[in-house]
Amino acid sequence: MPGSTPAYVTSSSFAERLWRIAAATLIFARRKPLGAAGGLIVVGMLLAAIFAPYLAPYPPEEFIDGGSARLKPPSLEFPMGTDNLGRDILSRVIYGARLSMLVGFLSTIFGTGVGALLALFSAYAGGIWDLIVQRLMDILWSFPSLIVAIVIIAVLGRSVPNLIIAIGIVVIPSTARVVRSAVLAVKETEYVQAAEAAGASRLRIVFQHIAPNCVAPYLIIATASLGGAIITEASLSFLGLGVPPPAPSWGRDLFGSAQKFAELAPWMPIMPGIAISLTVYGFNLLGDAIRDVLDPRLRGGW
Amino acid sequence: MWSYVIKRLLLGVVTIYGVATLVFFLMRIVPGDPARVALSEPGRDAKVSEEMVKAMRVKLGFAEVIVMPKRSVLEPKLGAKYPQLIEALQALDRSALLGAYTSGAPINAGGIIVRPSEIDVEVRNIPLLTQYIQWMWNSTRFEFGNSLKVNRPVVDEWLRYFPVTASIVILAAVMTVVVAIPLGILSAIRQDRMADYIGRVVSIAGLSFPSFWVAMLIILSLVIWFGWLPPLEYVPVWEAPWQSMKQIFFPAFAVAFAQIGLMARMTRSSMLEVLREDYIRTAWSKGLGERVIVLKHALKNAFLPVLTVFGLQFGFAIGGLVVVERAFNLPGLGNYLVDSVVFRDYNSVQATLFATAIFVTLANLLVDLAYAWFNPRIRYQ
Repeated sequence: MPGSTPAYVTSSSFAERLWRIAAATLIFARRKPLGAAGGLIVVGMLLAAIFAPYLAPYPPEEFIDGGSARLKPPSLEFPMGTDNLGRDILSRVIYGARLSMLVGFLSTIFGTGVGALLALFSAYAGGIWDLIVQRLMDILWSFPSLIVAIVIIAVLGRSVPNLIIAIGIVVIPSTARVVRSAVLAVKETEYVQAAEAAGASRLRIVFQHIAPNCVAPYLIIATASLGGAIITEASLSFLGLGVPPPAPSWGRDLFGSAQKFAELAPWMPIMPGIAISLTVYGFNLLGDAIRDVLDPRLRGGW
Repeated sequence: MWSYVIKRLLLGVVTIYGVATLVFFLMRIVPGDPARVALSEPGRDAKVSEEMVKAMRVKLGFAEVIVMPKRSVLEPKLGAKYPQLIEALQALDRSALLGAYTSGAPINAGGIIVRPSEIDVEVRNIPLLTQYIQWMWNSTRFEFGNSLKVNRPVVDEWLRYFPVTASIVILAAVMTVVVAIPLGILSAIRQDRMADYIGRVVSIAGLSFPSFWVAMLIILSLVIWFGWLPPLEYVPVWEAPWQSMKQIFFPAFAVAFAQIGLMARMTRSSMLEVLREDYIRTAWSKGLGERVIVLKHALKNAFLPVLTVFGLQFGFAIGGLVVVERAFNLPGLGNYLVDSVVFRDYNSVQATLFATAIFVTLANLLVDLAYAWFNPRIRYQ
């Protein structure tokens, strides 16, 4: 039939696409059971973060019964016990997921985004630009990551956006390094030369032709950075440089009074500690699996 | 080889100067007036006078104190000693001079006592470019001014805290190498068997447990099960080795835990790659024993990537150290840095930042040189 689109070009319907994603997920889970387990943990934490008000049995900052339910051990009523001020620890852990997920994802997106863009443009332009950006990355790289974050918080002040900036800056150099080597490999290929010969603009070449080929290494480094970002946020909170109290935060909740009461109520530091470790463990497992799938050189390795 | 070493050294120098520049600008993008921020007590709104702000600007190196004796008053009084006074005044400590001037106390300038009313003191802001040149020059000589908190040279403070941190870093590095490399090798030669699975679980756990959490678990289990805590008063290694070991062992372990995970992983995958090479098969078919093949033939080549990661992780380990020192309440540089940040002691923050960056750069440099030493292919590039 002239005029009508052939069947093979029709864009698939939403249901079809959903089905395809589900099938791909299933194949991934079959091939990488550990990665799928990690994925489940991550999705679980995300859901906990999003639906915190519905899941948490108590408001996270409420002193239950006017603060009389202090240091109660884990029970049916309080599955994770209560802290020294009579707050329900389970509720604080669930609400704590919000901060960890928010800061973890946004800082990784910010940091890897900046790093990838810097690398895309500087490596494609080459010459002096490449040199300058590389030296800048060297300089950033020579600061221990947590120390950079501490000092940025010291300079900018304690708040969620500043946490995101501070933790994001830390991942810029590693992303830039990885993406740069991918760009250098793609830059010399014939199809890029063909695009140049056809008179494509530099912006078009970078975004249309080079960037898609750097997606795999980018995703690998981004997922690998997520766990680190969550650890950094928790460490900053632990040092008293995270969001100010009484907002629930895993890192701070396992220090301070938790340490003081640790002998009496070991669940106070242990519960948020498990939450952090489990989440980071999930991100690491997922990141490993994604790396194995996307990087053919590593197949069959770790 | 030598041209490579020189090139690498030069790059290191460029990086360190870049680091110094970054530290300089970092302290100058503090929102608002850094002097006012440094003066405002955390959590308290104390009244800050204009004089205090000026004094703070001098301490931070943002402003300088210009002092001139009033000639018409002092020259007739002192006569021939007048030029001597000018010199003595210039040699005085600027902050002390400003303090005495604002409080109206008599000033002792090299034995000559002058009253504040007899001299002119002016606080003048230094242009940014001059500030920068001064900062660069001072940091080359390790002059970072006085700590704002205790009013003593930052370098002295620094040297007081340094031994604790250094001993933990060294012990942690030794632990990492001693545990991680055998663990990784074992994992590789027993691939997909019990030893391998245990090794893998341990190393992923190492990556997932924040070091302060490991520290907390250690403290908790020591207290709950053994009713024992490491001695709190710090003693240097050379004075009481056993006592100091008891104190440093657990913090070093907490720092090493994450490193062990990463290094064991790296050793394992690098070992696996090498064990599949042709020359290893040749060694097997020659009838060499497993010990010789693994430790002599394979490890030599598998070691290089591990070495690189070890160097890169040095900075990461220092980061972990900050929280571990906090958790164990040890008087190390990490604790010092966090305290300085909380008290907005910018001079100390700058110095600590600069010094750690130098250490990391040096560690990377050493690793690169070691790499070139072990791998002749790098040397001739």
